[in-house]
Amino acid sequence: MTSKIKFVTLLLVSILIVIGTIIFSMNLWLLGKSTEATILILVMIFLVGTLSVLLRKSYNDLKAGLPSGDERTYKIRMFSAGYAYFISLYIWIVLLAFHKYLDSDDLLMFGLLGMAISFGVSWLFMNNKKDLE
Amino acid sequence: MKTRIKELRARFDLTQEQLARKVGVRRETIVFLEKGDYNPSLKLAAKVARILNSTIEEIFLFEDSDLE
Repeated sequence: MTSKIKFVTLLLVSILIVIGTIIFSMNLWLLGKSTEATILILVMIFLVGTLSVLLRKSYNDLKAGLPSGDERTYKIRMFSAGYAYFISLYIWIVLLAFHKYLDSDDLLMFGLLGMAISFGVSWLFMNNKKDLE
Repeated sequence: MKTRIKELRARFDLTQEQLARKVGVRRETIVFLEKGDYNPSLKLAAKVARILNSTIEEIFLFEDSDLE
């Protein structure tokens, strides 16, 4: 992915999150669920705040003519994906042990969330790891 | 592993960003390389060496303990 594609993708995702959240919050507001709507807007502000940091970094890379990825970032991504795969296996085993207490929808949601979080944690770990080969 | 990238970069009056652009990597990669926290591929090491007008051996210094 080039720096330009990464920047445009991040920009589009940010815009879609803002538009989607506003429409969804308005619907919730009209249904009288103002608390849920407020929480949703707060989550959106947090997400867009995080994305704006990435967007700014991506824009600076684009302006400086630097690539969005290189051999180190590919290695980090590869290692993180490997670790996340093994961690997620354990997450699914633990979730299956609790399948009597959870709906299948919740089980799936927790499993996918666990996979995403395990990838994020692995990425943070690998990104700060010394002597990466 | 120790590197002489910082020293040679200063000799050529290059910033980390300029060197990153010349090598074709992210600035963070140059930071990690300078600190000796990342072992680059042979190709990347050769690119850095060529840009800094040196050899790989002159830039990347390995002690015996690093090779164990």
